[in-house]
Amino acid sequence: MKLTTVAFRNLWRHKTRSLLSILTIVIACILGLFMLSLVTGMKSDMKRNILSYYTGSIRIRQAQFNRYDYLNPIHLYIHDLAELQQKLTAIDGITGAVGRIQVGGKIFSDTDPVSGEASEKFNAMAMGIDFPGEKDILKPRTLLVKGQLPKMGSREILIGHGLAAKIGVDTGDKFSFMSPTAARGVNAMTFEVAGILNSPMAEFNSSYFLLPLDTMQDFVRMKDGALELLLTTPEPEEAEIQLRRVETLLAEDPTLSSLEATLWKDQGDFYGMMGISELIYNILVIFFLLLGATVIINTTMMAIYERYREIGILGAMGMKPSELVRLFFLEALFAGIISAIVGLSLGTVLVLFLEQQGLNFGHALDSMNIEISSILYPDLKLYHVILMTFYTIGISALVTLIPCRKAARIKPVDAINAT
Amino acid sequence: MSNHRKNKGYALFILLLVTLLLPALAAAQSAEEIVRRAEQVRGYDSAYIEARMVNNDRFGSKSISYRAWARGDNFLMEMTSDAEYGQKILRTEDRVYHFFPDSEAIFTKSKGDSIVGLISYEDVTDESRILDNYTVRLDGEESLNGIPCYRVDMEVKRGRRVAYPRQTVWIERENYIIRKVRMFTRTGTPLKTMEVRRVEEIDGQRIATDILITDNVRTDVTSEIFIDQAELNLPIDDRRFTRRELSR
Repeated sequence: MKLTTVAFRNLWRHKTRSLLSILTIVIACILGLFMLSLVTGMKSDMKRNILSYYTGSIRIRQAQFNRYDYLNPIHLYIHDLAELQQKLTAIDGITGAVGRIQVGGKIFSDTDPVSGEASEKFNAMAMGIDFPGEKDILKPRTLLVKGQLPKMGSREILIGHGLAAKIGVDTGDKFSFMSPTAARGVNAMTFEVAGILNSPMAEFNSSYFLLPLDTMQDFVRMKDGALELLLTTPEPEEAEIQLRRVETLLAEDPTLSSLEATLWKDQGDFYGMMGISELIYNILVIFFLLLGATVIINTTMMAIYERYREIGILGAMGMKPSELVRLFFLEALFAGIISAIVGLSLGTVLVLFLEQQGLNFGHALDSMNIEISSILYPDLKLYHVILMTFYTIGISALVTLIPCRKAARIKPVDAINAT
Repeated sequence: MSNHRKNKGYALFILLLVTLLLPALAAAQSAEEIVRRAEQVRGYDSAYIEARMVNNDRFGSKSISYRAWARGDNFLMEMTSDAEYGQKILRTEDRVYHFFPDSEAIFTKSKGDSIVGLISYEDVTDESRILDNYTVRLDGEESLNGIPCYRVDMEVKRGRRVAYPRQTVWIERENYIIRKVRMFTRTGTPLKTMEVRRVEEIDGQRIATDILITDNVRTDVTSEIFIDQAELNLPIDDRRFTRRELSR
């Protein structure tokens, strides 16, 4: 009889025990598949958010603004925005250029109708955008859940639903906002809520409102300017080529030499950390599988002690120690293969379900200034399945080599005489 | 000990106590007198000024020009520089309001909030009497840039709400002009220092026309107030100091 047939039969001699071992590996396999697809989902979510909300493929700002951004020096802005947009969109591979102005300030609500006095204060961020120009970047229409988009030139705004609830405003209501200006003074303006937005970014919902760029320019005294310029490219992953072209343009024009272009990948530290997170998650997956595999080691050890005399007889009948090792190894290998098939099937179903439903972290991310959505969608890739197949089968089979060595060292005479 | 000797002992003790406390009592009176005279020097019923607030930091200078009217405890400022044109600040009934032409709301501000740089609402709008809000104590005399000055410590009276709970004021001995003010928190941490760099005589009154403000922590930031023009004791309509007038 072939060794593989014997090994497969042996696996089912203690069905409950074998099933428990397999179940442990199955759980570790499902968990591993989920973790790998979650970190990939987080990374692509972060990339999407950075491109839409923060930088586009390339972001241009005054170099001095980047240097002192902790002081919020909004007087260091880009002048003659329209002219620069024209120059940049003429570069091969740049598909769009939009200006944005973002300032922090205080919303004063609950204005007394008689005295006109504003009382309650809330911290908020205002972002001036070119609504028509942002249709392929921030895509404001897709964020709109109530009301309508603000008209350019008006004092209408689109407010995050969390912020709207916090200050108690709805469409048609008004509030006043006070913030620093590019003239290094302070200004306040009253805005009317035209629409409510719901963004995947928790921070955006809880702290932001959007207003027309031209109104914002007037409000913060940034005539014809913007704080930053976001450039789009056909393929953000390959935007280094366009970045070099943009840098050449900025370097060659003395009026633009104070500007600095940054690639989306260099925005913040968190995206870079996601690469390290992927590695950490891989190590964690291996750790979970090793933890699960200890059950297989235990099961194999028990099988060896139970079949002590049988091993002796097999040895006396001429079975070599290496063949004994192979026998137990094959038993574990089959357990690993079955675990992988079941674990990957169930894991794939679970992850595909979560890919549709998403994992809602609710308000947990509201106050966190990271480029991650409050609802995360795992992203299952083929390489996750291949990697998990390798991890599950490989680890479960390899760990049995430790107890198998014990079986190989058993002397047939001792085993037969053992009571 | 006989009663007579005992009484004599008490009398001696009281005399000694009075002798020791007398200079201190005299000094306390003297501090109040110094402050009162300093306020008399500043004393005008009403004023109109045209002035500038300038802030200097690592990014350069920011100047806000304004005109202001003051009478009693009331103060109204109207900004005239391009970027702030039409903004108004009113202080009346010990409250500060800031009006912006682009806003339908009128903002109530804390006296200690900054208008620009180190200059707070309190610094430019405060017309109240020192002795109404502070208890004063003469801390000694000191020469300030060669000018002999009284150094007076001021501490806020219980129940009074002021931007600076503790201050030390240097008052010129010869003419009772306030030369320097150092502000502290309630616990005594220094906040900032105001120094008068120039005093001019306007309509018979000596007015500080160039003031430098420095910060005890942010040493790279300074603020200045320049009074370019002033008219004193002129008639000002009561309505000017009302919230209704702010949005006109």
